Amino acid sequence: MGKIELRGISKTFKNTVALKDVNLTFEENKIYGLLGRNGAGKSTMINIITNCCFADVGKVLIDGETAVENDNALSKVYCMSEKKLYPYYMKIKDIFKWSKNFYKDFDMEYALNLSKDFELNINKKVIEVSTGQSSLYKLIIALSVNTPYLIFDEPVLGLDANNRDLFYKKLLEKYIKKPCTMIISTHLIEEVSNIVEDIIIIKDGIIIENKSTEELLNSGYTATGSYEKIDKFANGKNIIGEDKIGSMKSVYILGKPEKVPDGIEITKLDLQKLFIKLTNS
Amino acid sequence: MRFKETFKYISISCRKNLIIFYISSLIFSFIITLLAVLDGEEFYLRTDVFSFMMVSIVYNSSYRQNKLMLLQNGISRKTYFWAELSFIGVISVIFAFLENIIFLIGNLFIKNINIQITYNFICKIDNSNLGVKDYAISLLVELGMLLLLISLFSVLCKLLDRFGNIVVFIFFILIFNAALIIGLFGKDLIFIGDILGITNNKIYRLGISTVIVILLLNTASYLVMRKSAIRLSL
Repeated sequence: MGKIELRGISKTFKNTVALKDVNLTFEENKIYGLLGRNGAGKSTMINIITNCCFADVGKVLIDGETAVENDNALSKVYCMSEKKLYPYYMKIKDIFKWSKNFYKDFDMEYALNLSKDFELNINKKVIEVSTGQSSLYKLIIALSVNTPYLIFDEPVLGLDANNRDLFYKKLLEKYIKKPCTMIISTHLIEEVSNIVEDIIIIKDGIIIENKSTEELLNSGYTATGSYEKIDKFANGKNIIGEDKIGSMKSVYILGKPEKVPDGIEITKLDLQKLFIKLTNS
Repeated sequence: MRFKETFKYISISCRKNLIIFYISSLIFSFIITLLAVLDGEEFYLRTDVFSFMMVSIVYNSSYRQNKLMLLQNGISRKTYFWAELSFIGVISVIFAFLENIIFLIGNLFIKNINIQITYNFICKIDNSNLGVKDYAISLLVELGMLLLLISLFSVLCKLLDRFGNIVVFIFFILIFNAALIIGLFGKDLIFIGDILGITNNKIYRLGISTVIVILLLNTASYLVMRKSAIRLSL
C-alpha cells in the first residue's frame, strides 16, 4: 500500500527550528488538510518531501523508497505551490507540454479543457499572468498530472470566489474519478473543512493534532441562543471563542454538550475557532 | 534516473541562446580576421575560446531557472548534474567540429594561417613577442573575453545564493589574477603555465587543461546545486 512517511524529521534554519522530530504518515487515497499559522513549518515540511531542501535529521519515504535524490520516488509526487518555479519567459501552453515530458500520465486534453473552464489564456507567458492566473495554471497542471501524491501549498492564492468554488468541485471530481493522496496546506480553513478527511495541525514545528476531521469537530460544539441564556449555559465551560449577531450569541465550547436548556441550539464546532484556540501562543 | 527527459529539456531550453551566442562569436571572429587580412597580415582567429566561454555563459546563466523547473518536475539534482555535463560534452564536440570546418574554409582563402591561441588574458607572458598590431588585436580579444567573464560573473552573482556567490567570486578572482600570480613568481610558476598549455601553445595540454577547467566548473556547480536552498524571489 502506497504512502508517504516522515520519520523523525528535524530541520533548523540558523537559530530557527522549523521542524522538530516530525513523524507522520500520509496514507493512500486520502485527502489531508495541513494547517498551521505563518512560519509553523508547513512549507518546510512540503519542501523536504519534494526535495527542495533536505532534512537535518530523519528521512522521507515515498512508497518505501527514500525521497532524497531519488527520481523514481519524486516522480510520484507533484507539488503545486505559490512559488515561482517555472521559467518566467515560458508560455503556459509550453509548460503543459513540458509537464507531459516529465510526467507520462499528464492528461493534456483534460488540462486544455480545464483551461477553458477557468477561462485561462494559455498563450500568455508566466511573467504576464496575475497572481490568480498563476495559481490557476499550476492547479490545472496538478489536476491533470495524475501522480499518486498531490501536494497543494496555498492552492487558492489570489483566486476569486467563483474560481475557488470551481477548483474545489474539480478537485473532488478528480478524486472520485482517479483517487490519489492529496495534502492541502491552506489558511482558508473553512473552505477545505468539507473536503479534507484528516487534519494535521502544526505549531512551531511540532505536530499538535493529527485526527480525522470528524473526530476533531466532535471534540467540541457550538451553542447559540440569547445573551442571557448562553452566558448562563457557558459558565464554567471550556470556551474557545464567541460571536455576536444582533440579539443572538454563539459560543464555541470544548467537550460534550450536557443538559442543554430550551432556547439554546447546539451545532457542530467551527473548525477555524478550534484552530485559533489550538494554535494561539 | 530520468536522464532522457532532463537532457531533452536542457538542450531545448538552451538551444536558442547557444545559436545566437555562437553566431555572435563567429561574426566577431570574422571581423577581426578580415581586418587583419585587409591590412596585409596573414592572420586567422580561432573561435574555440569564444565557444568555451559561450557554453559557460549559456549554461551557467540558465542554471538557476533550469534547476527550479526541474525540481518542480520531480528531477533530482544528481540527474540534473549528469544531464548538464552530458549536454556540455555534446555541445563541445559540435563546436570542435564546426571549428575544424571553419579552419578548413579559412585555409582555402588564406595561406600559412597563423593559429593564434587567445589565452592571453590568463597569461600575458607571450605578449612580449607580439607586434603592435597583433598585440592590439589580442587586447581586443582579451577585452571581449573579459566582458564575457564579467557578464557571466554578474549573472551568477544575481542568480545564486550567498554560498554560490562566494564560490564564483573566488573562481573569478583566481582567473583574473592568474597572469599576475604567474608573473609575480616568474620562473617558479611558469611550469604551471607550461603544464596547462597556456604559455607554450601546446594544443593537447591546452585541451587537457580546458577539460580540467570544465570538470572543476561542473564540480563547483554540483556542490552549489546541492548546497543552495531555493530562493523564492527570482
